[in-house]
Amino acid sequence: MRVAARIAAGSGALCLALTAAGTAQAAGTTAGSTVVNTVSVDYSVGGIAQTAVNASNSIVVDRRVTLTIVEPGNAATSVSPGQTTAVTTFLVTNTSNAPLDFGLTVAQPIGGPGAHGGTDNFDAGAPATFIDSNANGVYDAGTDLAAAFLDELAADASRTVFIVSGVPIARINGDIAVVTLTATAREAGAAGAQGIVLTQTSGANTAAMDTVFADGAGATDAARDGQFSARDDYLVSAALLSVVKTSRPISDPANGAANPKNIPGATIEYCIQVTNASGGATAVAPTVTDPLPAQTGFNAGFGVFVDGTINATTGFCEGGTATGSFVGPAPGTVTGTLANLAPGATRTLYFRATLN
Amino acid sequence: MGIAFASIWGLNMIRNNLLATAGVVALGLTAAPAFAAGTAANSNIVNTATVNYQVGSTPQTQITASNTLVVDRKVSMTVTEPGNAATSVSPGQTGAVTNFLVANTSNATLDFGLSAVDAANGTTLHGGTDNFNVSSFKIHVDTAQGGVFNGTYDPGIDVETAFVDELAADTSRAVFIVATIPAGRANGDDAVITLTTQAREGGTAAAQGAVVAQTTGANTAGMDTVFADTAGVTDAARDGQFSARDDYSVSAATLSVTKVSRVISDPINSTNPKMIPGAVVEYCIQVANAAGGADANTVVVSDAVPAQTTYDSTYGIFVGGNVNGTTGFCEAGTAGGSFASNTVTGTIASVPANSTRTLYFRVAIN
Repeated sequence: MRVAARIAAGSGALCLALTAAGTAQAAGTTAGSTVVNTVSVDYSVGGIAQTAVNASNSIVVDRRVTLTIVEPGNAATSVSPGQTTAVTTFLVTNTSNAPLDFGLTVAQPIGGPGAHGGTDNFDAGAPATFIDSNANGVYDAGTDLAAAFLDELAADASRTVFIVSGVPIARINGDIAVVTLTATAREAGAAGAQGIVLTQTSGANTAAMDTVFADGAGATDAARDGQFSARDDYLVSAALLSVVKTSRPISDPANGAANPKNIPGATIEYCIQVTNASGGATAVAPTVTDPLPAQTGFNAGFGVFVDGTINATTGFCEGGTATGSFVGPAPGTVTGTLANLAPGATRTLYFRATLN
Repeated sequence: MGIAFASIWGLNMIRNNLLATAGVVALGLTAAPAFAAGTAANSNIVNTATVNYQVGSTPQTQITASNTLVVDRKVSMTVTEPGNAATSVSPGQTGAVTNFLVANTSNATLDFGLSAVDAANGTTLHGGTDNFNVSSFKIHVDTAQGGVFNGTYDPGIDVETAFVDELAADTSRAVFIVATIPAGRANGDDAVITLTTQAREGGTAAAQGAVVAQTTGANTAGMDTVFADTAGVTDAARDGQFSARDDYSVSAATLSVTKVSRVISDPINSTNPKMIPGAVVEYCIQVANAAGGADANTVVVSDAVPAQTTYDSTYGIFVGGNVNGTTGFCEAGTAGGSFASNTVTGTIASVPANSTRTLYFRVAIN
């Protein structure tokens, strides 16, 4: 080797012969590929060229295991209370120099800071991992299938992974649930089957393909552990709806409209005020249902007004359109659907009844 | 009117009992039974509205709001005079009863204060014109016997009181004015009595509550009070009172009596007898009751036999006979009466208005 080395240095004719599989990628030379290095020594004896002598060396490229997970939007995922298909999106990239399977697990921290600010204060329900089967980067229910691992992800390839979970109905605006996706490198193995967890080769380099963990530290995992993790937040965007119901006598048989009282025969106006507080989501199509008390009779002549406002002075309902409905038999039920209620808005439904 | 309307009263009581029964059943079903008087005062009417909505496309937990409304107290009542006719009374009658019916048409149990006044002369009612006041009167209220209000005045049972105690919504109670009619009143005399009832607070049995006051100003959150009564004969609308009248119409008997005599026989003449000593004379006493008055009952006739005559005990005394339209003398009747201390006495059971009854007997001239 000393001779060869010296000669090689002198000739400058060192030639690296790469295998066909060893394309130049960011992940580098494919693991398991053999790098053959042959040295050829030409020489003369007494001016006569001699048969060249050659020497070859083969090395096996070891497997560098590394991966990343990113959360493409880099923003919390806005969800609604009760949403059953709340989707966060992650991108898992195999930066190893070998195709691998990647086991996928989801964890939810208890408390602690959110990925995008705030503080985790609840857990999403039944988070499951789904693979972007049609590779469009968007979760398609029924198309993108649930799976616990990414199968045969080639070196330098990426795949979108979705965490799909439910949001408890009782969560309120600003609640945060942090979810952590962890991918663990596994042997590629057979297609359609999850390979075993990779282990790093310990000790000295061997002639065969060794395995080296080269991944960085993720959100919840350490560097060089064959795993990577990233977090996203479910941020609850709820409508802060509240409803207030008031009543007032409009007239009574004795007093008429002057200081009327709630005596039998009086006409009572029920005013239902639905308010969506600022800072939340729009409440879509609030529907008001009001079964009349047995002691009252619906005033059909007045009707049911929806999308009314509140008189700032009296605090009672006014305006709107008489498009609500009443369904008997007596005492019956009043219903009406309000227009979408933006944050900070109030709409009313009101109707009248006669006190029996 | 008096006794004659007991049957109507009976019907009223049956109806009231049915109402009460229905009320009990309804109470079992709902907190506030639907009486004619309406939902019970001070009951709460709770009305809950439910709002369903979505955020995005996700249905959210429904929210609800309740409103509780306190039913105010409608105070109204009526007083009626069930027979709607004058109460016929006799001069000097004690315990002359007029009936009234006090109905609580409020939606609450109340006491009802009772006051009566004898109307001024000239007040007209039932075709009569008030021209006298009764000697005295008292107010009695129908009192339950065995749990039943019979609507009929029962002396000694229906207590004298100044108020109807704890009269439930949609129930009524008979009130009686019991008066004494002056003797000497003539047929057709009329005394009008006005009964006024005033709503008073209920709640304490056997004690008259304070006069109910109406809530002034706007509706409040608590139970307000509204007077909703109409005007009675002497009270205004919406004053928490009601009044009605009845009158006592005197039905007197105007009696007159006539006494005639005729000779029946004498010892001498077989025909055309004369009033000679020994002759038999018939005394015919005719009691006439003029038209338009009351029956004269238990008319007692006393006749001292003259000293010059001797009572004919064989003939006896005939009572309740009539007058022969041709001869003008007494006939018929039944033997009765008595003779004592030289005096003939007989009782005519009844002399109806516009009729004449007789008593007759015979004597011998000494």
